Amino acid sequence: MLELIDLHARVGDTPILKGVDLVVPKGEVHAIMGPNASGKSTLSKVITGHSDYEITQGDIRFEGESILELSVEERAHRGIFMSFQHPVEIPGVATSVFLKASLNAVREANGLEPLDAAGFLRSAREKMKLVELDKSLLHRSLNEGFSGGEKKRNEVFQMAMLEPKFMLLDEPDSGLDVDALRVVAGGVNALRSPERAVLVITHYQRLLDYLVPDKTHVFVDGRIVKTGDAELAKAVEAKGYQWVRDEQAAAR
Amino acid sequence: MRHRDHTGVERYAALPRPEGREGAIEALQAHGFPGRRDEDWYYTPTKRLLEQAFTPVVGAARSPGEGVVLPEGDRLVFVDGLFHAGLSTVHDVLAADAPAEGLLEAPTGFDALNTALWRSGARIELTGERTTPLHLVHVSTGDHRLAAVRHRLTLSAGAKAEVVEHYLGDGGPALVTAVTELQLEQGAELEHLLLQAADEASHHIHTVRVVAQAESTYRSTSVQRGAGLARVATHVELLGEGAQTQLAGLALGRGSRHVDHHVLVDHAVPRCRSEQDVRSVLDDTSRSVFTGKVVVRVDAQQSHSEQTNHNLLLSDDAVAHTRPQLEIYADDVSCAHGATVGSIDDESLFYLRQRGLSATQARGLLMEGFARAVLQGLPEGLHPLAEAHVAAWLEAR
Repeated sequence: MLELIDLHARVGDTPILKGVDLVVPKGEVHAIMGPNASGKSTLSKVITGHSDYEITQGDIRFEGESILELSVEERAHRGIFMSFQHPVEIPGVATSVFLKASLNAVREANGLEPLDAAGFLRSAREKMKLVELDKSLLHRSLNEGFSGGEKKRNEVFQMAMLEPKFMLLDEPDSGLDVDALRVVAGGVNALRSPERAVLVITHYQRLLDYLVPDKTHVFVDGRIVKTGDAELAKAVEAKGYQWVRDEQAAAR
Repeated sequence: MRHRDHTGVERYAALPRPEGREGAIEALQAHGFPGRRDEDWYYTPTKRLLEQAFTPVVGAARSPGEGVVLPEGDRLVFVDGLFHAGLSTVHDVLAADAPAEGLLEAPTGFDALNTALWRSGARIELTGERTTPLHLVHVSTGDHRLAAVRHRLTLSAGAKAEVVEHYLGDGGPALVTAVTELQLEQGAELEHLLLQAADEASHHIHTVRVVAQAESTYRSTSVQRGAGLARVATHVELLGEGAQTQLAGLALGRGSRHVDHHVLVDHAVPRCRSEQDVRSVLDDTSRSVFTGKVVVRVDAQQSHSEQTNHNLLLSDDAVAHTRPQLEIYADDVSCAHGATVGSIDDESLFYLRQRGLSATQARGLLMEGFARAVLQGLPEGLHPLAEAHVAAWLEAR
């Protein structure tokens, strides 16, 4: 579903991605683990088309087609959804108003009829249950004054509404206690299907107990340096990233 | 007093005026109009206004065109500053021969002009709990007409009321000078909404004077969007213990419009609260000024005051001036203020586009959210009116 081919990207004159190769087939969950400042958050922004990053080499293919020329919203219309590490607070815009506009923008781009208010509310109420959010949240300003846990659950709720093909989770576990973590992971698991793929970026293995990856990639200094199964995440957690670096150095 | 602009003063002095207004004309002749060298008017471009000759209509009020939609319910309608009995459902008006009481202390030239020339206005004592809003509707018919209105409303002890002032333009250049005097007796509560959607060629100068007695609450929300030059000066005196005021303002600027919100809150006694949230959304070459002055007198212990001024610039050529001024003489007080001037936040834009909204839709939503935040405190009955007023501006983009 998603292929990154020798992907290089920079901010200004600083190279951040230095040749990323990754294939995430549909139906699979992949995890990327990496230390701080390794470039793993950049990876999610580059995939979604953030304008701060310049692609200097390589390609991003989604369902077989290059998406490098597509805008942020065009990529979203194709079915790429990113759950933000730090969801933005937008005062004065009710969650329901935003989400209805968002859902209908995606539907329109895919040749579907817009959802009416009643249909939207029905669907929203249903899907809020998935992540145990209270429906009063629909009337509150988007993410304004939400707790850390509410923000992350709101991301998964939006994801459930938009039904993307590719779910990119940028540190969905940061700032969550174990109960909230379980709810967030449960929401994502409920959305897994043979037609969808998940790429989760995280610091910690803890999340992967609940959201078990088919493959784990270790990301260091702008590249994937090691790929394995769910056990690799546990090894990284136990031994730290230095172990992977040392192994790399030895192999050279 | 000093360095003022005398352009047009003698012409206004020569206009016919009601009896007993000599004092106001003399004040105008002595002080002139405020000009560039007057600190409180430094950023306010009055030159073009003063160079034009505006003339009041004398006699019967004209009828506005069919395009003017009047609000339903209790209303007093003023056309070019004259009471229009036929269009009004409430008839408590200030007669033009009422004594020229209430000549404002330290009046500006525009207040003096208003005092000299007003011929009409609401005079109402509001008692008990009113369940429906009272609308004061002002229509200017252009043609360089000068409208001067003077409203005096009193809320008796414990009264609760909602008052909406509408300022509408029915085409062409006009000068509106309005003074609204509000007296809130003990425990009274007033919700005051000011909606200005006058013609772009018109000038709107409004002074609101509020005297708040003990435990009374004055809340106002001003949304200014139409006139080429609009200035709303709100002066609230918290004269009784436990009085409070919440002042919200929204300047919506497009083209070369200029909007001033000038606020003065005077904490004269202990245990009063004041909050200000004034914003602007400015496009093209429009400009706004916010002056927010809070005075806490030496005896006004346990005063609480908050002030914020946020400005959203949609164009590189738009300018927002922000002038917070705190004068605090008491020591046991909590006073906070903050101001921001910025453009649409890139990360918010990215977030919304990641959810499938186009850049244009996302910008629109962020702008709406920023503007609508000012309306959040409005009661249910008034919210739709203000909402529609803001929506009309947003949709015209």
